Parts: sequence; C-alpha cells; structure tokens
Amino acid sequence: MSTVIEKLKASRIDWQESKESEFVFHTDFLNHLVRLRLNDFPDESLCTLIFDGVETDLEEFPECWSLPRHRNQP
Amino acid sequence: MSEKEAENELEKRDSSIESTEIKSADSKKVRLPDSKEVNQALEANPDQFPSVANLNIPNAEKIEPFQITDGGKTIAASRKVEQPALDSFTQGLQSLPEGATPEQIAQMQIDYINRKAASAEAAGTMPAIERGMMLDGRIEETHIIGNNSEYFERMAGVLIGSVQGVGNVAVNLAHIADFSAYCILGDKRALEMGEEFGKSLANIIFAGGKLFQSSYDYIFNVGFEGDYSKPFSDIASVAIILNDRWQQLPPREQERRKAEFISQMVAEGLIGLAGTQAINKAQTFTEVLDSVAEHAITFGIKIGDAPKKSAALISKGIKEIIQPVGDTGVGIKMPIPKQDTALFMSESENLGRARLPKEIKPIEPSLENPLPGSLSSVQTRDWYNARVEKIQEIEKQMRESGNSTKEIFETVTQLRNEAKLQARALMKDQRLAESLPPPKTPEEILAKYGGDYEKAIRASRRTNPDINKQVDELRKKENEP
Repeated sequence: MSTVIEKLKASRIDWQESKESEFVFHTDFLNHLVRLRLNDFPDESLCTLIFDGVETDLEEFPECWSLPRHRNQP
Repeated sequence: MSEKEAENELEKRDSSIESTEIKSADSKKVRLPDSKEVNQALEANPDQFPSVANLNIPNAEKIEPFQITDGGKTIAASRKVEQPALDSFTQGLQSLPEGATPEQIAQMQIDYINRKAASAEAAGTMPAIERGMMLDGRIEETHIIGNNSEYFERMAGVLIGSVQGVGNVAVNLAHIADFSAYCILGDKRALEMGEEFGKSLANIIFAGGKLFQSSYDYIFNVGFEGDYSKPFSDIASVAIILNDRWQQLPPREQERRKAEFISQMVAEGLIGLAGTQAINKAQTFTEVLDSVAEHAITFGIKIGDAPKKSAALISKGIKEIIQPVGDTGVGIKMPIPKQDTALFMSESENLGRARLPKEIKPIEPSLENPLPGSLSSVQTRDWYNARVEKIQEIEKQMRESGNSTKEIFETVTQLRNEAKLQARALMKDQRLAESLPPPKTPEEILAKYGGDYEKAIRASRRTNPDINKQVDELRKKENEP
C-alpha cells in the first residue's frame, strides 16, 4: 500500500470534484477509485487519501496535484 | 479761581520744584541718571519694588497694574480686570494648589458639574438627555429622580463609578483631562502621565464606562456646545490622538496587541465569546477599550479594583501608544520605543533597505513571529501547537478563577479557531489554505461530544500520535541539507 501511495504522491493528479462534499475529491489511479479529503488543518492532518477503504493521512500536498478551483484560476 | 488761573498756578509750582536745589546726598543720587536710563531700568525690571510687591492689597488678584506714559512722564496706575471664569474643567484644575489632594480635585469637579448643570438649566440650554446615552446598560440601573440637572449629576456619577459616587469619577476624569490637555499641547508631561492616565481609564472601563463612544455621541450627535461638555470633549480629543497613533501601527502589531489583551482578559475571566469577538472586530484603539467596557464581566467589581493584569495591560498599551512618533525612513511613522527590545517592523517590509532610526530595529522573521505565506505545513503546525499550549494555560487559569465549563469551552474554542485561521494565513500554499474546510463552530464541536463541555474541552487538548510521527519525519526531511 505504501508503495502505491508514494507513487500517487509522485504522480500528476488533477483531482475532480465529488458529490460527497466540497472538501472531498476523487481520481482514478491504477484502475482504482482514490478519494482525497481536505481536513480541519492544523487540528487534523492536512489531507487524507482513501484508497480501497484504507485512510492515509498526509501532511503535505504534493506540488504535482491540483484541485479544480486551482485549475480555474489564472 | 478760574480754570485759566488754576492752570497758571500749577505751572508755577512745577517750575518751582524743578529749580529747587537738592541738598540731600540720596536725592542727588536719584537725580543723577538721566530720564533715558531710568526708563531703561524700569522696562528691564518693572517688578523690582519689594516694598510695594509685599504690600497686602485687598482683591489684588482683581487689579492689574499698568503704566501711562505722557510726554516723557511715566505714571503708575491700576485697573480692575475681569477675571476669567474658572468654568473650564482644565482651568479649574490649574486653579488648584500644586499639592491638591485627590479629594480636592474631586470636589473641584463635583462643583464644576453642579455649577454648570445649574447654569445650563437656568439658561434653558440643558441638552436633551436620553436614557442610555452615556452608558449603555448602566444608566438603566439608575433611578431617575427629580429635575434634569439632578439627572445629569447622577449620569456623571454613573459615568464612572456608579454606586461609589462621583468622588472617584472626578479623580479619574481629572487625570484624563490633564492628560488630554498635555497631549493636545504636545507637552512632554503627556508621556509622563501616560501610565497614570491608563490606570484611570482602566478603572473607568472596568466599571462599565463606554467612555469614548459616549463622548462622541454626547458632543457630536447631541450637538451640545460649550464648556459644559469640557470633560467629554477632553475625552473625545484624547480618543482622536490615541486612534491616530493606533492607525500608525502596522496592522500586524494592532492584531498582536488585541490578541494579547484578549488572552489576558480571558485569563482573568473577564470576557467570554461575545467579548473576544467584539474586541477582534474593533477597528480603532478606543473601540477596543469600549468593547472591553461593554463586554467585561465586571459584576461586583468596585471602582479602583479593576482586574490588575488587564488594567496594567491597558495602562501599558496607552503608555506605548503615546510615545513620540518617529519616521522609519520608509514612509511609515510609528512610535519610537524607549528600549531597543520593542520592535515594530520586519526587515522584509523594509524593501528599500532604508536606514532606520537607531531606536527602531527590524524584526527578523522567526517561528514565533512569521510572515504570512511563509511557512511549510510542518512549520505551520509547530506554530499552531505553540499557540495551543498558551490556550491551555488560559484554560488552566480560568479553572482556577472558577469559570464554568461552558465559559471555558466557549473561550477556548474561540481562541483555538482564531489561532487556526492565523496559522492557515501563514502557510506558503495559500491556494490550498483557502480550500480547507472552515473551523468547526463551538456548536458543532459540542454536538460531537453529546453536549458534554468537559469532554469537548479534553478533546481539544488531544494531539494525534500518527500525525506527530509523520510530522517528525517531514521535519527531518526539511532539515536535511
């Protein structure tokens, strides 16, 4: 699992909006649905990856990732 | 004797006096200087006549000496002068002896208020006084009996001390009047009086006196003119000066001072959620003080017993704010601190690298004092954790002061949420910071813990061991060369 997460962190990901919440996003990675949740930082971790039902907290937001609202900004 | 004959007789006498030989030695000495020298001596030293100066003249204060010069002759004369009425508050203060006791000062103002109230009422110029005009909340507690002037007297009492009477009111207002006069005149005594003024103000504020807003309302909204309003115009004047100095502080320094004040008041159990919000929203220095007056939990606090640490902070704040203003050389004017340890400006804000005055040294960005948009997520967390530790100290002090768990929960949550937003503003990745979910409201947090305040407070102290481990790893990575 940690290898997949490391690969994900190193990949360019354009996260898509979800209907779940405005703070939850999703993407397809290696034929898996991966979700990203932004948290109540700094009380909580910055964000959480949810891969095959397993949650992994992240303290960094990789520079190669983007959120929909960021892509819409100049 | 006709008029003509009388004039001739006087001329004869004058010529007889001038032609008479002076025989005494003393008289010769007097006659030796010529008239020019005598006039010069008089002009240079007009009051050097001890025998005359020491004379006990009845109503001397109402007599003004002056000289008439007619055809080379100088005649000493006196005339009655109109005394300026001591009906200005500051003039009244000046009329007091140097060593006047607080009681004498108090009596002076009591007399002043009563005299002006009576004369204004007699003249029919007493302003319409509305309930609650001077003190929101407090005035309603006062029963209004009798005529308008009595009401005003009561209002003046309510203004500061309410149940303690007007004595202390006067002493505190006297300090304020003096202080404002010195401020307006640019007198160096303003600086010396800053601390004393601050104490007086703190006493007033913690007794519930929204002084500044009240004085503005009184003078500008009610539109009453004249000396009757002098104590209040003094307050309004000093408010203008304090706010002007406040606006010259960098916004970050304003926020720091507000946060320090809120923390201290919370620690002393003086404000709750509404109070912290009101102080945070305040745009000017006097709005900060008026917010304190409005929201301070001061039930049972007597005048002169203002909470010591918060009062000291007000006093210190005022003292700092009235320090002389210096030009930093980069277009920003700010108070010149007395000690080198007082810092106001960041090196990074000094873009032109202008040479700063010796007393103002630049602040180097540090973890305790970072610039917005400058921290990694790990550094942001470290900064936030340091803030949370301080909030826990406040929680402890509130418990020792006997505050309820509800009060503690509301205050701690509010402070924590503010710290969280400040922390996010410090993050390098501002686009991400703006995408984060808003902090949970106290109601949301409480609902999560089934309405149990104690559980909610305890939960707010917990740190996540998994996050800490991850943060430690990232910190090591960041520190690698």
